[in-house]
Amino acid sequence: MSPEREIAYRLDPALWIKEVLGVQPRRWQEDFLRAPLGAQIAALTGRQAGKSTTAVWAMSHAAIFEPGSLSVVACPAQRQSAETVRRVREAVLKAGGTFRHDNVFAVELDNGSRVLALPGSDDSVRGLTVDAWIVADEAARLSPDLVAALRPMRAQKPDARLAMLSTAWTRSDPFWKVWGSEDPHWIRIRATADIGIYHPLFLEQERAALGEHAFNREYLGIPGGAQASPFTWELFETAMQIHVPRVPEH
Amino acid sequence: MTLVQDAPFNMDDPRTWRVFNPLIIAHDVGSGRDRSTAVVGGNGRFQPRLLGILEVNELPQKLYGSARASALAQIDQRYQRKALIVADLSHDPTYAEVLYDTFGKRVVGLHISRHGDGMSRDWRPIKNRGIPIYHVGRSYLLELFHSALQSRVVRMVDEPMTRRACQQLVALESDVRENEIIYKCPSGQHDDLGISCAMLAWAATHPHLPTWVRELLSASGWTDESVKGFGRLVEGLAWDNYLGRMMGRPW
Repeated sequence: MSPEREIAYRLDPALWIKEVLGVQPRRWQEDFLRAPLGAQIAALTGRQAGKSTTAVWAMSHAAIFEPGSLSVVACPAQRQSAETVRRVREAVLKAGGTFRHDNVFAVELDNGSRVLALPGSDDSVRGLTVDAWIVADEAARLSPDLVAALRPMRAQKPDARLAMLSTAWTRSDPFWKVWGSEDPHWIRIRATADIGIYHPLFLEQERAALGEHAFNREYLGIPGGAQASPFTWELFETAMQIHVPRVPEH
Repeated sequence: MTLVQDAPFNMDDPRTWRVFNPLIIAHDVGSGRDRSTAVVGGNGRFQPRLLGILEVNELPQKLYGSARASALAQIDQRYQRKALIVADLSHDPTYAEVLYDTFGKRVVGLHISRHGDGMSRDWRPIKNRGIPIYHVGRSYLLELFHSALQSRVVRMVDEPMTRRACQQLVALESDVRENEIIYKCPSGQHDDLGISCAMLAWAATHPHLPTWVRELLSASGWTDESVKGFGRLVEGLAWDNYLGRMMGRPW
């Protein structure tokens, strides 16, 4: 590989994915992979839109091009995190990387970079310092305590990126708190059915099988509990209004 | 907040109603981080029938058992200890005994779960008698209160704590499932004051209210004959069934 090509791959993960791993990322995946250092990214996706794959690519790229770096992935269950690490292993091998240590929950490349699969609770994840990627996959299903434990991992590493990827679940889960907030420090990326990532026939079948509400949640990024409260301020203002004038006191 | 004894009657202002039919204190028992509450109000004794919410209180945090009942009793005392106590005993069934020791026969228990229209009840034996525990669904409670608000039969005193209760209800999220609607409290927020208002509305329109009132009067030392007479009066004054119609069932 020429030095120029290596610099191009180092700077542009999407190009690396395309030319080295031989996969064409979708537009939203390119946006995700090209997020600047230190970014916080919230990605709202439909089912099977490729969110875990995107996280795998991002962590694999960092492991190869940022020697000695650490990336972590947290899923609702460690079995799912381990599956993500297994896919990182495959991507790194395909790119020609070699491993110093390799087990179910962690890989360490010869260049010293590590990728760890975290457990699904906050009890034993504290104390890590992450300088590459912190990935919260299926973030809507993570406990608020686990998400709170992930954030400080980049406190001393301003270049580390924090990514929360999820399908919609409820309006009160940790992911939606970020997605629905107006915090300008988050990059929000949407990959739901309305941007044309599924075949229309497949969507039609899924809508029929799941029903409207579940379909909206799974494919359109509309969380359950999407309905607003039936109680409105107008109702209460009416109940608190004093219409009948008081008799003036003499 | 208490009744304004010398202010002219105003049907939009429960503080001027003077008498209630009966006065009710809805008491949500806090679990975990939630505080316990006491929402005071009741039906006005005039036509058209209105439900007044006089005051909304949060009891001090970290009170348990008799200390919590004592804090509730302080509020009850402001109303000459004549209120019906409607308490949520879902999380702490043993609290029923403490409440009975403090308030006697005036206590009606609630067990709030996912389902139930508040008509079925168990008797929790306490000492030589028992207190009724009604089973009611959380969604049912909230929808009943919502219907009452929509029917414009609720009057609330405009105070910061009342608005806080309103805010809790406005912030609820409804999750439409196949056979039901679930009302959820957003993460990190509370709904205890709002639920207490709904408990008050439930008690004020309950078909067993005349029976509870008889117990209330008997606890206040009324003779059997006068209790019976007043009971007939209360039954005669029962709600005009419009809430029952709203909820699609006879009252």
